[in-house]
Parts: sequence; structure tokens; C-alpha cells
Amino acid sequence: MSEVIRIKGFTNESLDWKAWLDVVKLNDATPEQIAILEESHPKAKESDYYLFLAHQPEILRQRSAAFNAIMYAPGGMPRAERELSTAVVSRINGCVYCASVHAQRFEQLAKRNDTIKQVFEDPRSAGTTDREKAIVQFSIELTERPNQVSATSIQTLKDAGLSDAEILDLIHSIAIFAWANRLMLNLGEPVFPNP
Amino acid sequence: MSHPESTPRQPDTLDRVLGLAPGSVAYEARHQRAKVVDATQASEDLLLGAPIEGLSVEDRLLVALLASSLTPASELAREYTQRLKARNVADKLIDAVSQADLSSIDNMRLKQILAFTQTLIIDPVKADKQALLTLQASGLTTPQITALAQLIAFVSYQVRVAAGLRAMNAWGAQQ
Repeated sequence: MSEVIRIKGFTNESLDWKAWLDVVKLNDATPEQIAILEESHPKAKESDYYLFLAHQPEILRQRSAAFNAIMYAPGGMPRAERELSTAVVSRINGCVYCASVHAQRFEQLAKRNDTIKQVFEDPRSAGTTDREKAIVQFSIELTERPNQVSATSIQTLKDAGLSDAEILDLIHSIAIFAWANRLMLNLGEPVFPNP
Repeated sequence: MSHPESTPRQPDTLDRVLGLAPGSVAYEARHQRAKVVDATQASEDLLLGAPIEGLSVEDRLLVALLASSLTPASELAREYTQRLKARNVADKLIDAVSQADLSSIDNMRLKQILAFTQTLIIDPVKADKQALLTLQASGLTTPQITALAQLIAFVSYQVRVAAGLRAMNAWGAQQ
């Protein structure tokens, strides 16, 4: 990471996360739980988040299948833009942990952090290009007012140059962070590095 | 779920409630991401259909009804209402939950579950450790709380996928 960003309580630093209730202990985990942890995330066996969700292994398996297909599948919307939309959703929902992870991923993929600084400072005006601004605005609208998203919202994305496949990927990225943010916000809390 | 290629695909919940037809912009874009379609339906089947020890399907459908009503997401709220009616859940309870009126619910465990749902849907940043301890005090185990949190979070995902697809479908119909 090239530069530490700390703006309005959000950061691009690597945070830890601690569960509020008991997590599955690896020594007690069933072979099924171990297998699902391994397919969910490379570091899942060291993560309170995944060890908590492993209390319901089949549900975790399908959540991870959806999450990984949405965020990492080839083609469609560039991955940096998927990360931008999830950073915006996390900023709007107030999920400091998720915002830090996806700020880092955006920076790794896009090789710049200017848009992330804008998202942390004032998400409603963020975006360094018309295309980024359209992605940011749609991410906010579908997060805050899903019932008001309309054909006009889609036309705005089209006017900014997004294809049907990219719009679909954007919808999925925003929606999966409605899911991810709620788990991270409600099952535990971020742990900040020692100053 | 794998289907032989010769068998026409049965519409999943989102295609069915939104009326997405093969050939439409929304349907064709959506089904390019088959893994997402499959994992979305498989999640719904696990969270709202499969047995979960200590959380009845009826209670889980009430959570989904409250979450979709609060959004609001009319197609999914209608779907979950129909499923509750098919299971003979009292109309009075269905009506109260669909209007987010929890005051008439006298089952304290269900009331706590629905109150937790309301917080997570409307203002997810407000929930705290105390909310989980309250659920524990109502008799929920950690695996049950895990399932409940996943269910509420899943519906908040599902309503947004539905809203996005509905808008794409409306855009496609204008072209």
C-alpha cells in the first residue's frame, strides 16, 4: 500500500475483525466445515468472520459461491470497478471494515487511490470520470432506494458507456455488499492496528 | 442443481416473480452469470426451505416478508405472503408483519427475531453486540443466530438484485 488514507472514520489500512459471539474452533470443526472454509477464502481458517459463519456450513458455502462468482468472475465489468462499487456501498452503509478491504483492492487493481479518497470524503460527489460517477451514483441509489431504481437509472449507465453485462455485474456487486455489510456490521466489529 | 441440457430450465424465484422471459435484455444478461443465479437460488432454498434446527420455515418466511416489505420490494413481499398463506399462517400475523407492526405479536421470541430484522434492514450500522445478546436471552443458539443473520442479509441482497433486474427489464422493453 503506497499511502495510508484516514478520512471521516474510514481507512485503507488492513484491519482485523472480531466476532461478538463464539466462533467455530478449528480443533472441533467437522471435515465439512474445514472443506467449506478452504473453498471460501484463502485465509478463512484464521478469520473470526468465516469461523463464525461456519456455524452454518452449507449456508456459508452458497454465500461464498455467490460472492466469489460476483467479485472474481472474468469478463463483464472490470474488477476495479466492481471494487469501487463495493467500496461505495460499504461507505454508505457505514461498514468501516468492508470499506478498508475494498479500498485496498481497488488501489491494487486500478494502481491509484484518488477515487477512494473521494468516496471516503463525500461519496455523493465521488468519481474521477463520467463513467465512475455513473457507477457511484447507481451504487448509492440501489443501496438506499432500491424501489426507485428505474429504466432511467439504467439509461444513465448506458449513456456512460456500460454494456448490459457490465450493468448486470454492477447490480450483483452492489447487492452482494448489502449482504456482506450486514454480516460484518452485526456479528462483530473491526479491530484497528496499534498506533 | 444440474439439469440435463435437453430439459428446459425451470424459472427460479427471481425470473418467476419478475416475469423475466428468455430473449429479454435482463434475462440474457442474468443467465450469462449462471454461477450467481444458481448460488442465489441455492441460498434461498437453504435459508427459506431447508430445515434449520430451532428456526421454523414459517418464522423464516415472516423474516423475509418483513425484510421485503420494509425495503419495499413488492414482488418478493407478495411471494413470501403467498408462501405463508400456503402454510396456513394466520392472516392477522401476516398482515401485521407486512405492515411492520410488531406490537400485536405476543410471542416474545418471534418478536425479538423480527425486531432484529427491522434494525438490520433499515439501519444496519445501529445493530450492536447487545442485539445478539438479546437474541441469546430469547433462547437462540449461536448457530441459529448465524442462520438468522444470513437470512436477513440474504434478503437485503435478493431485493436489490430484484430491483436492478426489474429496472433492466423495463429499460429493455423500451428499446
